[in-house]
Amino acid sequence: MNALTVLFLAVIISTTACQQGIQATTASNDENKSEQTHVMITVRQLAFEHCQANEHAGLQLIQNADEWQAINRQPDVIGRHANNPADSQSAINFDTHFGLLVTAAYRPTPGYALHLVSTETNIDAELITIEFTMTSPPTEAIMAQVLSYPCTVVELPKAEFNRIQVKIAGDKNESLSIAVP
Amino acid sequence: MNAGMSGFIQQYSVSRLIVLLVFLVFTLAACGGGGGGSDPDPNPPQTGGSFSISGKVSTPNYIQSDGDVNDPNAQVRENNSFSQAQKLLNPVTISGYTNISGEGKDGPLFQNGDISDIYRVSLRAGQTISLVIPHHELGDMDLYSYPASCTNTTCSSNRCARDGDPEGNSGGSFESAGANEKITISETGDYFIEVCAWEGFGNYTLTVGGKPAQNAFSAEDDFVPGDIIARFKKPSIGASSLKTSTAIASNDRAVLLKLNDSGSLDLLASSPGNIPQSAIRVAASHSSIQTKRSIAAAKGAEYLKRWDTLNMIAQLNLREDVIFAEPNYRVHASQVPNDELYRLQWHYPLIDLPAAWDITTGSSNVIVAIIDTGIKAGHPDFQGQLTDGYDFISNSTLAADGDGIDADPNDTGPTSPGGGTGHHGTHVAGTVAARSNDGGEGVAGVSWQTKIMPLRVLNGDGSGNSFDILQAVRYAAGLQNDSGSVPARKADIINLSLGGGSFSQEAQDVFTQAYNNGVVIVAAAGNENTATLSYPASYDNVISVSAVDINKEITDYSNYGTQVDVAAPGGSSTDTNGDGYPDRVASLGYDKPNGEDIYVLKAGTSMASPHIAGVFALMKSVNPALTPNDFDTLLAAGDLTEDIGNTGRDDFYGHGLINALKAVNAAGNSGGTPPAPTTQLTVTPSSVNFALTDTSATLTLSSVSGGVTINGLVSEQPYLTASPQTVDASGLGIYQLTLNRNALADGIYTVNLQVQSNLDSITIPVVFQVGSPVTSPGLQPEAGYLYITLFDPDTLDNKFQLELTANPQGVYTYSFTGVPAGDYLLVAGSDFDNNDAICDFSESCGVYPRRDSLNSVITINGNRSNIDFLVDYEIGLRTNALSTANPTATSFANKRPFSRTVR
Repeated sequence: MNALTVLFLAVIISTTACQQGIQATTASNDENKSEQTHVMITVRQLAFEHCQANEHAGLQLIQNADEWQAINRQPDVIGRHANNPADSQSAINFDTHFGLLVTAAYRPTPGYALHLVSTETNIDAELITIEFTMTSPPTEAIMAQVLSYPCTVVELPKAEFNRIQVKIAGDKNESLSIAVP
Repeated sequence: MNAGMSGFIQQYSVSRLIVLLVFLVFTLAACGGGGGGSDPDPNPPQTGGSFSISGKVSTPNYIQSDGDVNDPNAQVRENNSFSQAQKLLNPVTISGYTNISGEGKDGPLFQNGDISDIYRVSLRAGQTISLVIPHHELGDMDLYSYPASCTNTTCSSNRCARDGDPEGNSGGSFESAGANEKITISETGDYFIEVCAWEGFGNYTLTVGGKPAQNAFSAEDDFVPGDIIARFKKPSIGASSLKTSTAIASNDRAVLLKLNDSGSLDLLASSPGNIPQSAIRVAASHSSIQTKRSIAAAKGAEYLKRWDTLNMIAQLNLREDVIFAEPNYRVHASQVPNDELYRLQWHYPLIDLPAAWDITTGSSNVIVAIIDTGIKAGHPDFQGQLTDGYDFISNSTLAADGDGIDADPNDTGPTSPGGGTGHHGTHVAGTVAARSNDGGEGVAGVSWQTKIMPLRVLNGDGSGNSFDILQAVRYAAGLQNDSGSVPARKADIINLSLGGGSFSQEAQDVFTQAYNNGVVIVAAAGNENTATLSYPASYDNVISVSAVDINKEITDYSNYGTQVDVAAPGGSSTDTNGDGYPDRVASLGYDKPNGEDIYVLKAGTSMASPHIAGVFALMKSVNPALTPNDFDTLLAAGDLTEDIGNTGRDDFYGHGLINALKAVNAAGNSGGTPPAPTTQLTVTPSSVNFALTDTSATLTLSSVSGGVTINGLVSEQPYLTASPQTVDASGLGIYQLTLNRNALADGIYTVNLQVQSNLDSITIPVVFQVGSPVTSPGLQPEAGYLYITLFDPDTLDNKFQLELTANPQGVYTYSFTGVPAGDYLLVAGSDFDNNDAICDFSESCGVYPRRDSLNSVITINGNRSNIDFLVDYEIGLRTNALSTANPTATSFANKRPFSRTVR
């Protein structure tokens, strides 16, 4: 294998990793005079409207197309006029990625929404932390008086982490975590 | 001759003997002599002579008779104390006689009276005991039940207390309403049942554990207070005999009468015929009625109205021109909508909506404005339910429909991912008036005849501003607004499932204007679980609604405080009822990503508020004259609610949980006129008793006002089946019920048969017993001491008479001899009151071949044997028995009662 071939393979591997949302970076630890490698992953927030009416906050992994379909079938829907809803096109390539449904605790009205703070997060000791902010309706707003269950779905690359921590900053400062098999 | 012996007497008067001898001589001469007596059966026709007639008179297996009656010929079996209690079958119909000392006809009971008849019977919870006093104008009686542990000492103080106080009863509920009384047993067990003479004398019929005796009504029955269904005789049938000047123009079907506040009856416009007011006046009531009425009055205005209704029915049934009068039973038309998902709408039974629907399902003349996110107008459950609406969102960006205010109130859906309302206004409007009871998919609305005026003020994310909302309120109330127009008809009720902000004098002024313009305004109390005031719910002249869960407890999100006026179901996340879904409110929605109309569960005071708006719409349909102030007054008086939480008003539930039935009744009692009745299907009888051996019966389905289509008769058990016998294209008519009891174990059975129609579903309880009826002495079926007579069918002269007692199987064997050829009416009956007439009401009666036959005459021209027929009790109030069952079968009905010959 000549040098050109080695360089070509390196470019290919790094390009694939980037496409999967995984980036290896090297950081210097001045105190120990040693180097520690951090793997950064890219998180993508998906458009999702089928929030589940949960009393409490929670996380749910979405690892295949069936599970994607399941979360798109709203549990609070008791009947459909056509009774044959079109399958929701999966927004996730489950060969390389999986999804995470993030559901906040119920809120007194609509107007609450989860916003991803950063599209990048590091794997730290096989743990990743994803941060959201919860926006609330204006204090003086006149709102529909129906309970809402703010939620969102994020797409994550399959990588070397076994736990996900989610922090939601806002009116309740919720913190959640889930193991990744 | 001893009254207890089973011999017979043949009697005929001297004058009739002479007539008979002349007749015999004439016929013998004409025929050349001869005569029968030894001809084998069947006998060839003969033109003269004297013949024998023999056969058996049988009784149904479910009838017994009082052991001590006033007939001096009847065997006496005293039943005047607990220790002497007469054992009864179950089910059973038993007739008897009571009197106060010195009251009634001369007879064995005249001098000392017979104020108490006591029976003992095993009963199941839910079974009823009904008492009918057919000649209530002659005497009054009361009905009591006692536990089997009673003795003459321990329970004697309660017996025949003569104070009308029902508290002395045990094991069941007691109702007294004139000529009809009923007890419903609450616990399975053995009981004593007592019939007490209160005043005067008379026969009675007691029906235990099965089909209630005809016209046995209770004030606690589920009927419409003030409503009476009655049928009058045709002028062509015995018009000359009518004692009143009551020509009835048309009486092909029953009419609906309403008892008004002045105590007289109004004929509802929807009823057929032309009955003058004079036709529906009634005679003065019995003296004891006033005493009982005062007792009923102590139970409250609604109870008194129900009692008055039953008393009026009893008075009507005394009239000779009345075929029958009965309550307008709600049980006859339980208006449970047939929408597929109604089963998940626990929140409607929670507020007694099904009972209210028996009175009204709303009116298209009532409009509820839904000021909200707009609606998905194309939803199938909105078809036919909408009036013109408007979009008052003035900011075109927020409106997300390309412009500011416009005439299109459609909800554009959420604009931010995960933050939308899921078409909130569609859900709220669906609770008020989703298209319902249309036999298909979907859910029901509270007031499904009501029209919805959709007004859009909140964007797809559920947010709005005060200015836009007030424009919509002004529009709904018919006040000047930014749209430059007002609706053709203003709204009657505004629902605001929204809140927030702070006090605004401008807003208060607008709500006051709307209120003063006759619009009732209802708003959600808010979901912040706080006592902090939320607007618009906290404005004056706005009714603030808190939310309860399936357990009628305040939810953990509902606001509370001094501003809360009333509570309604808002839902929670639990699944208490185990239906597989969270106990939230089920209504309409739209799945925007999938582009589908859906049915969805939501929770919040937003969901509670439209329950109130819907119930108010029902009230408005009953009484369009109700003003916003009337609603406030009725609410504050507790007339619309179930008082939950602290007694009276409290900060969590306001004046209590809305109760649709109370609310609709309150509206009706406030001077309104109910709309055309929705209780249009009637099933007769309302229950069926197959007793011990019967295997078939008939059920008649009819409609007072038409518009009913029968979908089917469904039995909950395979051993009971129903098949059409004579029905019209709509399925109304006569159905044959068949019972296959072969494989059933001994016991008492109750099984329901559901009559399903396009309008309502009626449950008919069917009761029967499997096992041997004769298990111990005193339990054999029998119809009392019988007089079997041959009458002249034209003059009703009593030609021949036998007296009979039953054998242990309840069969009476008879044999006439020396009967001249000719036509006769063969009748058997008892004379419990000793008034020298058989076949009075509450006396056994039978006629050959059948008493409802159009041709009951038997022609005797030879010896006849096996002339068997059946006797049963004449149950009912005076003048209406057989003609009720078949108004055209007058050949027998118009001739009774029959005189008997006195020894």
